[in-house]
Amino acid sequence: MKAIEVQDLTRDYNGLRAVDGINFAIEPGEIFGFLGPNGAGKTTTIKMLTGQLRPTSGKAQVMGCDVVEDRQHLKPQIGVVFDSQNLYERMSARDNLRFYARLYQVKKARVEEVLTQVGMSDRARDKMKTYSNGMKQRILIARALLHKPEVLFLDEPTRGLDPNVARDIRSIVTELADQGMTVFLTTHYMEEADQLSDRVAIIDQGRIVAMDTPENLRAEYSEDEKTTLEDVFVQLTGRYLGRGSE
Amino acid sequence: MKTFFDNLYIVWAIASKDIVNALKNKNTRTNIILMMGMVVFFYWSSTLRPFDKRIDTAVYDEGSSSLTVRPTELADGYTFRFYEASSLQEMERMMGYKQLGVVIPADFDQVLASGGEPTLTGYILWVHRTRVAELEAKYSQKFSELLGQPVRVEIKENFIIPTPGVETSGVYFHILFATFFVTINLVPALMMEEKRTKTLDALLVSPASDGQVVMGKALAGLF
Repeated sequence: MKAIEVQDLTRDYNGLRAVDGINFAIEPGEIFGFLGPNGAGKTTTIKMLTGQLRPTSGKAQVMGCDVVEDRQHLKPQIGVVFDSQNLYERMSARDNLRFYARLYQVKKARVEEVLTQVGMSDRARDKMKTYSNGMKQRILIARALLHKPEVLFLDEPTRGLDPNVARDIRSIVTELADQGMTVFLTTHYMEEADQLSDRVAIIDQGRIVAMDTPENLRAEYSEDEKTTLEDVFVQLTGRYLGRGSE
Repeated sequence: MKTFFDNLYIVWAIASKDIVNALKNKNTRTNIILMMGMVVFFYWSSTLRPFDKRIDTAVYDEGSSSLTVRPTELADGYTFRFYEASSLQEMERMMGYKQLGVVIPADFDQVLASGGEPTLTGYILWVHRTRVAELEAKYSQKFSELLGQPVRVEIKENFIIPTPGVETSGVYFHILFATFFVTINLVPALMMEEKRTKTLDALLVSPASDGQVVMGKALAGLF
């Protein structure tokens, strides 16, 4: 069984096609980087895969559950780190996590486990509104890990964070993948995608324009050894700046 | 398969989170304290109701007794005012504005004339059971003073509210309806709050179903 399997997934917003018939399959334990310019359809794809949005057409299965029909079975198997830091600001980190622990029906002890895992045990009593972005991001990850999901969706997990926190978060992600968790990652940082992902897909205007391992992509689009994933990305999606591929 | 209690547990988890958060909010706390103050005030003021020494009485006379035509002012300043009703039902309806309702038995005048102790059946409005004996004694005394010889006012289960079969039982319906109305009005507000902070997304990917989220919000609104 594939961890994620997507067939001709399409989503329209008021006549605008945000995601246009994408296809891919992700193996269990893989870190899959999903890259694309702003508005390319990354978040829409994540929303469809996590059951928050209905696809206009096409099919998607996560851990064998259809994202539309089997939504209730799908939910306990996925963890989502959203692109917004959606935590209850007036509650402490621990209370936030305890609330979700009740929803996921996991034991309170697990809250302390994930707090330790993301290195936030010391500040867990403080209210969320006193937290920095980096700390909130750690709590978001802790929340997504509470119920030990099979598949973890990360929507730009390191955006706007300082390099130390970003590096920490990357190491947490690698650790999780080593333990067998499937990770679906969207990011704008090409280095991050290059470093973390087993495979990447580049999406532009709702279509997947390239999908392979970072090494293969670099090799495919340029013979120069110094070529980075960013060069490939710009070549594929940078037409607005007049630097696109011919 | 999830059991009924699992579902209830999730609904309660969502509701209790909102309730606890609301209680932590200074404005809500102030409101609750104000509300409690008002409840206490109204309770206090209603216990003072017979303060002006006036005893408004709705009367249903089963016979045709002489009670209602008697002088109504007592020596200690208490004043009786009688409002006659032509049936028990009408008397119960009139009780909306009176403290006391009495039913005068048909043989009232005879017993009175023979020097016995006639018994009036009393009805009272919105009074706690523990105060019944006290009121019974008070009204018995006042009626005795009024008539110049011993009279008993017996209040048994004659509380107008709640008395089954009387129109006022609609009060329950209104309280229920008002609660329900306030609740369903609060659900969108609570949902919007979640939507504004984008925490609704997190709720929707959690095992809580859409229905449970709404139920949880409704339950929180109920409080």
